Amino acid sequence: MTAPMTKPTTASTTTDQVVFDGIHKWYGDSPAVHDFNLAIAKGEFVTLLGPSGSGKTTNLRILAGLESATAGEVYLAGRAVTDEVPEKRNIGLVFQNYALFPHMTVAQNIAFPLRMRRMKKDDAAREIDRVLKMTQLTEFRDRYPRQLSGGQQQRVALARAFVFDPSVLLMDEPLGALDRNLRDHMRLELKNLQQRIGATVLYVTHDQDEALALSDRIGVMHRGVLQQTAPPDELYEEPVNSFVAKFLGQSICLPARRVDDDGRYTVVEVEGMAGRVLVDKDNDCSADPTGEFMIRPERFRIGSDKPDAAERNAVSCTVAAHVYLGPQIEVHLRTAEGAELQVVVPSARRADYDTGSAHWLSWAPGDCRFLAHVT
Amino acid sequence: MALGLPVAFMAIVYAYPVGAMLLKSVTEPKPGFGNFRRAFTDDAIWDVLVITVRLSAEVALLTVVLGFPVAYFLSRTSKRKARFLVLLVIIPFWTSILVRSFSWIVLLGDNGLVTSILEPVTGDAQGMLYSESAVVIAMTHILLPFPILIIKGTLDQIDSSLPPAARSLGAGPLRAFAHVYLPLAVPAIVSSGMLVFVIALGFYVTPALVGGPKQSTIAVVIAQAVQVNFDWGMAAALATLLLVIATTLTMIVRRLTKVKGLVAL
Amino acid sequence: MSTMTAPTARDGGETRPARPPGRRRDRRSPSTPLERVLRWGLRVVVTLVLGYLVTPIVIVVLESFNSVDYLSFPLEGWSLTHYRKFFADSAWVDATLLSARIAALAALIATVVGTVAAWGLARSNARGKGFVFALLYSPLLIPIIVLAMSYYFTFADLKVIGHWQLISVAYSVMGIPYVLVAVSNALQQFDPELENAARTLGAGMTRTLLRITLPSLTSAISAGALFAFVIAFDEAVIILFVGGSGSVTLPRMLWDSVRNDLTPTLAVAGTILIVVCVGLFLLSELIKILRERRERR
Repeated sequence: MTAPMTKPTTASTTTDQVVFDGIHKWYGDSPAVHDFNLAIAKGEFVTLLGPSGSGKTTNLRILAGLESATAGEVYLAGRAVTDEVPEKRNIGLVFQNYALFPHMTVAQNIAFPLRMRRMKKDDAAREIDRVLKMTQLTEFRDRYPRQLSGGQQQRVALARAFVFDPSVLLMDEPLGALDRNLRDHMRLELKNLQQRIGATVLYVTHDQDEALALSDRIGVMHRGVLQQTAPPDELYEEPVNSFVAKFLGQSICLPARRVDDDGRYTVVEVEGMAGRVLVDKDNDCSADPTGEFMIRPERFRIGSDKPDAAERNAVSCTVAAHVYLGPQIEVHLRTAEGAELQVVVPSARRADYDTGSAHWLSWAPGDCRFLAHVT
Repeated sequence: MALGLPVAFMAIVYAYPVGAMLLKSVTEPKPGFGNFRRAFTDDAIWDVLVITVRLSAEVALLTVVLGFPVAYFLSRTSKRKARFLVLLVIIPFWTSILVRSFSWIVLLGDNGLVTSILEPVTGDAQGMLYSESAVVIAMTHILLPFPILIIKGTLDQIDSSLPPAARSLGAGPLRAFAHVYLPLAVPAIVSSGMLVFVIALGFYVTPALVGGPKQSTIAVVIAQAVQVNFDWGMAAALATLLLVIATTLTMIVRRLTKVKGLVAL
Repeated sequence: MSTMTAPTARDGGETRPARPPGRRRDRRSPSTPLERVLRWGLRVVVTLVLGYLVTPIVIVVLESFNSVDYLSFPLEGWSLTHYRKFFADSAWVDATLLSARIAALAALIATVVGTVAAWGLARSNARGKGFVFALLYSPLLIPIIVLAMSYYFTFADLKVIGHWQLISVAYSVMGIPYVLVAVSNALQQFDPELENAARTLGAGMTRTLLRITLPSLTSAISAGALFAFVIAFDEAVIILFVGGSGSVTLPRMLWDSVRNDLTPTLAVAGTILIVVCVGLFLLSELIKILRERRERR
């Protein structure tokens, strides 16, 4: 494990577009955010992912200047802005409910930030036309927000937030109010747009698919604490604790104890599994001897015969149930000692997984992890 | 079928008396428009109309100016605090107009609280009772809950993320208020002001008790016409006139904005 | 490279993190000095306006406990003299009882007519619905002096001035809009399919009304009835014309003595009016809150 790289130094505050430095936020006596550190590079798309109440929106509002941090500093393009009012920060914020001004047309909504910056009429008109075109809203320019569909309103909110070339774009669950199909479509549009304008984005969501699809890096938040920050693939492959493992994708987590350490492998005893399990030393992320054994269902190999010793880890179990999912089936198995495991296999061999049939599961030490226990 | 009973009831005990009154304006004492002709050629009546309109306009303006900050505060403060503070608005609202007018007689009278507070400033131990200021102060007090509750109702509907949105887009506190908040509140401000104006036009108790002869409003003159002069025709004509003005203005208000939930106060 | 930022994460938040060290900000959000001045100014204005609203009410109640025979502020001393005087004076007591009687009858009539009308409007598709609603609602919009003239002329023509039951009828007209709106709103929340369900389960039309529809409207109906009672209890304009010498209600007594002699007894009468009206209002609020609680459960 490495030291936190997000701890800003004087150097990083000049190259990073956004820096959160040791942010704490308390509401009265209850903590909402605890020691939050994060640096976002120019042009980077970073997502804060977490369940509701995990403090992700609070961080976003602190960056936007809508709330004060109880302690800590926020830097924007190398400048400390912690006590600055929102209108001085030059930040584009897309609200969850869009917050479009109902008494202004689409064009007037988009013109608002330019008017507030006292931009000349001609320049403003040109900017508005450009942005309308980019977001395919030109034909709706004189409509009022209530005359638009959800997706169109979302685009107006987006256009309004980046028309003045803000130093960073903040989005608070911007797709949350849309229905599923539209959400998938807007997700794509959003990513395209971000890449075209090269915007630095801090995005907040509780939807893991959105986070995985959009982000350069994802920060997982839980109970006010940033659990892990990493690119999507790394986050999925190498979660550092059981909360991250369970929150992102499917995973099997079982209570486990570290009993030995032979230099190459960590040896753990897993509740409900006979024998010992070897975990790659690199995959040992628990400071404590007790933690959780974790593996993704697709990493198991399943067979009817006992695998040879080269497989390192193997456990015998019987099928408890299976769920047909079309291209795959999800097989639920149970060990003799009572641990419950799932495996995903191609559905072609459905008949092999009748309830009660016996199988061996095997996996390599590099496929499983030993994690800190975080609920 | 279920509507038959209420309609019949209203026809007999409401529509008939009002209709009969309207009729009297052109039949009493003899058929024709004599009463209206008399009213419109009488300078004293014109004076009364001018006073009534002026008083009502002053009261409408004051209630809106004083009511808006309160409504704004109530709509933005915490729910629990608002619930308590709204009681402070509603309790006076439910207190009899007569009692409140009486209280203002005490407060504004020669030894009243307001008079003694103002005495070092004005150097005047005499109360301001029976003056236009007295009537305006008392009527404003009585009608103030209307704009507060109506405007609050509208402000509560305004999306609370709009002001922060305006701020994040570069508007300072004043400009965020002027460009975003105020335009959304204007319909409620205008309609509640008009409503107060209409109600004030027909006010009787307060001008009669708190005001002097110079503050005779049209309602006071109508009452005098029947009680002092026994001039039913003139009373009916003036009441008809008041009804027409009030109805017209009410229709305009309802056309301008839908004032809802007035009754659910 | 992955980063685990907080070692406290292992506790899973069960032990609460300590308060942060260093500089603390207690302000809710960053704000300009102007904003803070305005916020403070708003507080002052709101306090003053609310004070303006409440003071006259407080003064009336306080004056009723004054120990001397004239109105003075600050009070000369505390006493219940004027309450004793009020309740010993049969004129005041009779006026209070008459007001209560008139208001009760008016509320009863308004409640029946208003509820039937609301139900009829909700269940009918007749073309005249808008007109019927306007007719029932309009007493709220008519200047009271106009209503007073209308009833005065009619009462005088029929030679029934001072007839208390007829005064109740006139007052009920002013209460009907309140009942109508309260019950109509409740009916909008009420699912008409419930009535159909009851019918398919074998309840007749009358039983459906009594067992299904009415019970879900009770709080709306009682709120409407309370409004109608309060309106009639402190009505002070129409009574001046149609009360004659036969029906001297509490507001009428109050009016006469405000004009003739200003005494603390008046304040007692005013306090009773305040207590009855505000008390009934608080009662209706309480019913509403209790109902909301029950529904949430």
